[in-house]
Amino acid sequence: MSTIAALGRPAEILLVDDSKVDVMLTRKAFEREKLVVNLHHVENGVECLAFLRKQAKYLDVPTPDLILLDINMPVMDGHEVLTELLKDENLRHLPVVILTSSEDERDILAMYRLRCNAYLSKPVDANKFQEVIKLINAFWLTVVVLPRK
Amino acid sequence: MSGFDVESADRDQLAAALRASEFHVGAIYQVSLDPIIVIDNDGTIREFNRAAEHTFSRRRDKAIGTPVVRLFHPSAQERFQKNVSHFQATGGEGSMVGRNVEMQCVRQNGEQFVAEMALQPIPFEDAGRLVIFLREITERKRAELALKDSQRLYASLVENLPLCVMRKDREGRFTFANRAFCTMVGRPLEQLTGKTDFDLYSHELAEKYRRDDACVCETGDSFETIEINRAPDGTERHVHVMKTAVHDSGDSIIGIQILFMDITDRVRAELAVRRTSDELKQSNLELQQFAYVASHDLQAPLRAIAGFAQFLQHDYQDQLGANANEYIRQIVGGVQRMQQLINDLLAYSRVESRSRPCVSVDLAVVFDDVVNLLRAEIAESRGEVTRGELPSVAGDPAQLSQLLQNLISNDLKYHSVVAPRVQVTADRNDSGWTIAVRDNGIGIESRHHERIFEIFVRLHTQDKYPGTGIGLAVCRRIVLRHGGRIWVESEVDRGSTFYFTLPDRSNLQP
Repeated sequence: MSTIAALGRPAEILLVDDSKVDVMLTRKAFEREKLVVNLHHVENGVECLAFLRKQAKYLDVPTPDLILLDINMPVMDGHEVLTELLKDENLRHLPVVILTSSEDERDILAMYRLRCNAYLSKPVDANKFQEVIKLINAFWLTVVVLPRK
Repeated sequence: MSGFDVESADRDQLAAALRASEFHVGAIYQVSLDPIIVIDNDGTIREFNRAAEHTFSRRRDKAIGTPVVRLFHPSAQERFQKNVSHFQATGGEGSMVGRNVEMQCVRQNGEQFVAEMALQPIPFEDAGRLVIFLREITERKRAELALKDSQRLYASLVENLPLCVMRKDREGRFTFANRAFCTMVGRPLEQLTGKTDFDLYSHELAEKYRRDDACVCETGDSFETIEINRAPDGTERHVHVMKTAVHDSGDSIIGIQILFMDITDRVRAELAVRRTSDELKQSNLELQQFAYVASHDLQAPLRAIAGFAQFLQHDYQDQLGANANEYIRQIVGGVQRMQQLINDLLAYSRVESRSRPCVSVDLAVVFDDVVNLLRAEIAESRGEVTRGELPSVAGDPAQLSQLLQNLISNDLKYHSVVAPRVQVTADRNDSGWTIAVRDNGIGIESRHHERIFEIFVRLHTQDKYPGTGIGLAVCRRIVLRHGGRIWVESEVDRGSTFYFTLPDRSNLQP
């Protein structure tokens, strides 16, 4: 039993988000926290599933310790990704944190119904956004014990 | 036996027979239920039976010897006289003689009545006499008139109803149709009688009607439906049809009565309303979708602007000029205002899209929650927010909370040099409650009293009182949705009181 931080290797995080700006902001925020993480990025649900199933160009990628999932994306959105993960015996144990700009109550309810592990909304203010990334690290990578498979 | 004796015996027999006959006639005359009066040539009464005494309320001995015309109404006297004279001149060919005629008669007390009269001449000595038979028919006349009135009433009803009414016999032949139906099919009644639906409509439609009619005729059950009727000219009508069996006095079904109403206009209007309502639903759905997209997609670029400006500040602080920090502060401030605007707009759009069913809401509880939510603002402004007795009302709790929160936080925001004092009270009116939110703030010029409820209307600069100009528009939308109205009474420097009404049984729009 171990937290990611205790493993002595960089955390593998998969960021699923179609917004290049948000990806840059997230990457920047992790950098500014001076966190050693491998931040992988895919821009929609189809890519996300391919990544997790190590299909096509994702043959050699690691299984992520944590997935940061946006809701509104072209091709395949966050709802569909969670629905697919729930059905997949090999993937349903993976922790998923929703990171989205939607504060819509229907989205929040829907995501928890699809068993997301946490729902975070992206603050507009960069300092607050930085705080969110810091807390993700402090909690998910430092305190939470994640499954190993 | 001598011939004399025989003659004498015959005479005796004859006399006996005559006496018997007189006796019979006399008995009939007396026992008759109808008046019988005998008059002589000059119209003087010679006999007056018991029924006549009763009918005219005159005694026989007073009547005999008086002119018979006194028994008639003046309008009938001349006619009677003329007929009798004619009878006498022609010896029996008068218009009243031998025929029944109606006469207007008068009783002793002046009361009039109608009688049917028959005259019969009788030979009496050399002068002719007349027997007058009378039968009072006042009741029959009255019944006939009443029947005629009743027929007129029903005919008038049937002819003037905005309904088509018709009857058919068991073979489906029209026996009656009112004006509305004749107009609709464009044929007068004479041309319809005896015709069937097969003469009016397509074979298919006529078959259907025949089946429906047969069903009513066989079961005696009435039949009601709304269906489409295609007129001979091809126009389609939506009709509300009622068919019932027609019975004769022996209670057997002799045909069918059909009533139908053209409800095409109503059906079209309902369709139009439904279409509008569908369109509205669709448009609402699109608006919700739009609001959702706006919330998501508009915030992403804002996050980029604010985020990178802040990174710029962090990472290149030393390399930027002295004004840079201020510029960046302005950028971030602008972004935050933009974000507030988006959130407020979303709140405004959600008044309709996020509505919940109407329940009983205790406004006192709502008030306490709102005060708790606003405690930071209350503390900061050193304000005081109090309430009177507040009722339970019908409404959407989340929206009523939003309403009170917007009004109270406005009061806290627009305060004068003195600390804000806000009081919420309720007054009963005829159909519900009037809630008043009173403050001691800066007040509002009367020319702005209507405008402030419009979206984006602001009376102050961002520096003085920051805001988006949406709060009161949200309030108005919420109150309207609850079937109430909202207004303000205020004078500059004298504080403001916002009023809104909440009707008892609020009809929340879905």
